[in-house]
Amino acid sequence: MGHFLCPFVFYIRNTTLNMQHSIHHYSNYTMHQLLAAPYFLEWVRFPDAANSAFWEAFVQAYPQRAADITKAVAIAKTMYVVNEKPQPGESRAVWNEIYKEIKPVRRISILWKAAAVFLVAMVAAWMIFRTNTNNRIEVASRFGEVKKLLLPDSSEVTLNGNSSISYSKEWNKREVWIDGEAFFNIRHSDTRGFEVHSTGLDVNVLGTSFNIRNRRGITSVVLNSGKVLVAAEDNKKLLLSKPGDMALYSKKENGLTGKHVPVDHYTSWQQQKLQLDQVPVSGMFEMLEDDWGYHIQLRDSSLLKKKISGEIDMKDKQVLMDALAIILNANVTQQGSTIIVTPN
Amino acid sequence: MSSEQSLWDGLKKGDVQSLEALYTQYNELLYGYGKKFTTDTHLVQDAIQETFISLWKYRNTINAGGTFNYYLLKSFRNQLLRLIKERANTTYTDENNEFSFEVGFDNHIIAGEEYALLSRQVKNALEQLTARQREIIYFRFFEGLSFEEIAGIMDMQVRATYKLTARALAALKEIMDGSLLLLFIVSHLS
Repeated sequence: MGHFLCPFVFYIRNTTLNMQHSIHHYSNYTMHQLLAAPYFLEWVRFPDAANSAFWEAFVQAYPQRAADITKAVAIAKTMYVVNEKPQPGESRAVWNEIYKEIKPVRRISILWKAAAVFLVAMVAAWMIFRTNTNNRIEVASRFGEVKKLLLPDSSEVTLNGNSSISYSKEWNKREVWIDGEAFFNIRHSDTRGFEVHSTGLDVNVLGTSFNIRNRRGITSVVLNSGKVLVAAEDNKKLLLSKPGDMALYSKKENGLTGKHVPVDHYTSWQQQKLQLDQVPVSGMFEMLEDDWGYHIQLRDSSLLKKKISGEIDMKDKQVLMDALAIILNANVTQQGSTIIVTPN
Repeated sequence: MSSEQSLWDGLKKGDVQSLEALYTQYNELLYGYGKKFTTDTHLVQDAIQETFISLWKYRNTINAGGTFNYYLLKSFRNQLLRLIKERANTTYTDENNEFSFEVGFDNHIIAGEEYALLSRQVKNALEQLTARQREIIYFRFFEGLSFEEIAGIMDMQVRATYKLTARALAALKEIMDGSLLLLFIVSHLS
């Protein structure tokens, strides 16, 4: 199939088929027609010797078109398809339908049937008498799962493992509650604010993207772009306005504090990477427990204070095991979700 | 998170969680692709549902040759076109299928009125193509699939071989240069 991309063969074949696929064929193409021409797009996306030679020859033959070609290339490189995304609730519903269809069917005894009828009656009664308790949507991720979802206003949220987000079904207010860690890319709106609530901390957003994490009583917010106002439960406030601005809140310790950090260290989990910058081993173990559901057994607790830096690709479990073995100079084995570290 | 291969293995062993993980991973891609054929969200969701149910049913007989991406797109396309056909109650011809999409650009290069104008012009240029040609562009340029994969998904060998007649050569005039169909006819002639 390789000869498809070779204009030389192409030219000869097309001549025999009485079609004009020479460089002259494109002489009257406008810039936007180029942007819809497969052979032009092929060259932009998958350049090789053959198609590069073809388009260089075109520019040489039609030097007055050089500017158009350059511009079309620049535009084509950033061109993307507008993709529609399903609503998270919809996707759930479809999955439930699939599950219903594939789940193994068992023979049910009369007793169980009676129990089921009773249960249905109970649920019905509850649904009639409850007062608006089920008007919330909650989406949660499993350990180690990075999950993307779209809010009703098209804001994007990426959940880290073992995290959840909830919001009101009515969506009267752009307001969500977060437990665990999430990265937000908020759809800009001049008229409607956006609020993120977490343990002891509220984030007021002004069209922006940022990371929020709450684990073990500490909540942190790291700004990626735009501006956010962070308000702690003790009424202290902090404005984050530059990328990398971080707000940390701990009720037990120092309250609300600010500092400046490298953004990617706090957002690389979205690519399933663990990025560590002078993090104590104990801190890394906490992340492995909180986000990935691992339990770590370590005999020698003096290792816990050791500080480490680097990046671990979590997509491959073996990479993590090898990295731990090297960092801790230890023998690392795994039993289920427990990682056992035996120092050499 | 498990790699694609281990999800595949899990599925073959009958693990429902693997199927769910695959669903979570691919349902957005299929949805976005399906909506380019029809605006009917229910139809698209039905096709996704059927695709995963048949993936489960035939998990033991599916040949894992090729990527998941490829397998799912091919299966989903068949399901969706069948549903569209059923609904329209017409005979299935590829020419009836719509396939359209809008493109956006990085607005650092162009902005404002020029952006709107360009969007419109490119849209017009794309509308001049056939649905199949737009689909090929979508797969090749935006999804980065290989020609072998695209041909497989769109069932093109069969068609290209079938059309390898004088009639096909006449029809070629209408097909823009560089399209995949031409490629097949050319390679069959050589």
